[in-house]
Amino acid sequence: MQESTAQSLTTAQAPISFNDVLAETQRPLFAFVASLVSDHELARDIVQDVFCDAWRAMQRGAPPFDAADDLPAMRRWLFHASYCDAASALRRGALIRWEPLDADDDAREPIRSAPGRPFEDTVAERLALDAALATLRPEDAACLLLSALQGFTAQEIGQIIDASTEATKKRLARAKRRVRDAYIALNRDEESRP
Amino acid sequence: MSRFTSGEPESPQTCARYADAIALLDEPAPETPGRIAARVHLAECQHCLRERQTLAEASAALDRRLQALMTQAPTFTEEQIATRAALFRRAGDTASADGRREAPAALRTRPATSAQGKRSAPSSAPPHAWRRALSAIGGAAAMVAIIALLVTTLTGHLLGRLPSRQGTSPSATAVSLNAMTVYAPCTNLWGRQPNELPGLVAFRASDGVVEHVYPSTPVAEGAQAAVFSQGIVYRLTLPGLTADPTATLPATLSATRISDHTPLWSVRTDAIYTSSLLLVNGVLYLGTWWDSTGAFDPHIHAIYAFSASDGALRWKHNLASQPNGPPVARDGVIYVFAGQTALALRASDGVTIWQAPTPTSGQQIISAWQTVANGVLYAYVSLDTPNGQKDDFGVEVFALRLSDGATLWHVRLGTDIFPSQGPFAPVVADGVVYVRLAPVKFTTDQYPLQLFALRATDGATLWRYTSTHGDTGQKGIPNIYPPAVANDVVYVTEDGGDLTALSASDGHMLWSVNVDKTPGQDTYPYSIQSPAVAGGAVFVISDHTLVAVSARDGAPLWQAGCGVMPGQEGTAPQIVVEPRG
Repeated sequence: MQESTAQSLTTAQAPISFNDVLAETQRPLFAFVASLVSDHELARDIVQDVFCDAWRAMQRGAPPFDAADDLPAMRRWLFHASYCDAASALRRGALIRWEPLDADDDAREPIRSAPGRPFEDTVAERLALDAALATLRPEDAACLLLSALQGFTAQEIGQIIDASTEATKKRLARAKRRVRDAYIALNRDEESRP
Repeated sequence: MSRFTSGEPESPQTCARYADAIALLDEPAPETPGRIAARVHLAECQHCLRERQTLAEASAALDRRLQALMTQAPTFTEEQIATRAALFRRAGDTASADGRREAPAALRTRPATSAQGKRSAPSSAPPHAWRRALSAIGGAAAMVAIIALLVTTLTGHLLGRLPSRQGTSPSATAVSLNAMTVYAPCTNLWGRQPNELPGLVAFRASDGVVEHVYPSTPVAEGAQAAVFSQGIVYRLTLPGLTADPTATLPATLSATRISDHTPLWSVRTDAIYTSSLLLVNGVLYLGTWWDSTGAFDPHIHAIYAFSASDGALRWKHNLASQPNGPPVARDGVIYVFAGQTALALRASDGVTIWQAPTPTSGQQIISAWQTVANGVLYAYVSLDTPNGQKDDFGVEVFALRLSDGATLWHVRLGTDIFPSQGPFAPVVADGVVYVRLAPVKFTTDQYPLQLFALRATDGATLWRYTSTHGDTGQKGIPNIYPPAVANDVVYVTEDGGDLTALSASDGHMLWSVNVDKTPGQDTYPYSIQSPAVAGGAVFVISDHTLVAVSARDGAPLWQAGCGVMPGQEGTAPQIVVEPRG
């Protein structure tokens, strides 16, 4: 048996390898899913499953992985698949709650303050934003996250979450307002602090 | 154009025109009077300026939060993903395994409002798509459609209408195999090649190079079963009888770290015969019989539970009869057959949850092998003759309800069958129970392979494959090892070294190869074992050789010396394929 080489789409110009796809997408994909499901361990599982599906699709030359240079389409596919799986996980979570294997998973997430920014402000901001995202419906949160993470247009977001462009715009506006309100409330609390 | 009318409830802190103005500017549309007016308004309106500033700060905060989350992201490599894609499937996704889940290709072309292009797995569909479909066609009609879809899907599974598996590309096979290790129990007891090795041997899955040897206890007549979990191999060594007929050596259970081969712990049992090892939630379970401390005592039978972390005995449940096969576990319950009874034991402390008689019509169960699937305990049992008549020997398949042990169905598959070896656990996949017979007729010497595909719901025979190879001229106990099922293909071995791939849909032969390097010369009954399938390859031990062939067409990949370790009853030699490291 020959040693394997990296799987790549074979075209004349600028072939996109699976490693390229991984390098490009796994960080934002994890942030997207983790924000939706509020569970890092579950998010890692979902991201892994989606990449496994993508890898199989690439082996078969199935669209959008049949095109060598259409990384945006691959990225949309990955976010669509992740969104579907996160939605399924949230529905299952409504029926039965799976306790994470690592009970201190979230507690282990390091908090890095920006230079000159108080540590407690970073913690408060993180808690406020997480709480605000948790109050959003998954569709609304997905709109906001896709816009913030990847700069997807409303039309692209609509394709990813399977909604019309107009509905996507409304959801995006609603989600932005909710996060803004959370941010305002956070600042109000900070100002009222002695 | 009155776009400056927001449908969203207003915030008291903002201007009523703000939302639509922002929406207009966000659109990638050409410059229009509306956009110009919106830009002017946003630049002049104090409310809107303040709102934009607040929103920008909130966006920056969200961006900081997402950046922090990204630092927690996993760093998968292509090799890791390829390995996991080859080894694991999603729960409930067996029909779409191996990449037959359709990619949402329509994402690139379909209109934004189309409901098509969702992933093929229904559970992955966004919830609002269901609601939209329900409202469109009416609740009652939707329910009829859903039921029809479920029935169609279930029938398709049961009748095997699923499409045949697409072959794995050679490059994909290479990538997957490079990341895997094949563990095979080997011995030189019956070996005839100088390179054959004793013990549990780790082979590189891509080319068969030996990575490591885990030596077995240097006592002949050994049998070994092993399970792997989180970098640790748990081994069961059964030294059995020594040359002194009055002396016995008890079975030993041990744990070894795979990375550096460090022995972690080792414990001795009271028995010389044990079932296969079962590892569930950090506890090792096994059934035992024949106490080693004295003469043969048929009344000492038990199920043991050992802690996998240190080998400490958690509990021991004494049985009235000898366990007829290895235990199985599901959802905190251990299931075992003992005598004529099926038992469910609480995994935490061994307390009996229920025990139920088995539908054997009074015939003694000689061995029972179980599989749990979909809330049902499927058992493949070998029955003794009640009156000494050869024709009364037989094998049956039971389906017992997990919750209380009630018999759902049972079918008799054959009579006049040599009873002492096996059978082995049925294989359940995609609503089908696969069991194999190798009936040793007392009246003839022929023992053609028969593989039954039974419907899991009622035991009805969907198809039966009878080998045309039939009598290979070998005498003795036939090969009765169960098949392996992967990607809608059933892989089954036959005496004489034949490895055959059958379509799971109707049982027709896809390909068959002979992997016996010395055809016709091997008289040992265990000439070929159960296959294992992973990474686009099929691994099987045949005639003292571990052979790897392509799962697509049976083309040979590599072979390595590996003398077969004959399992005592309940300790089937097994090949395990694991991700490396």
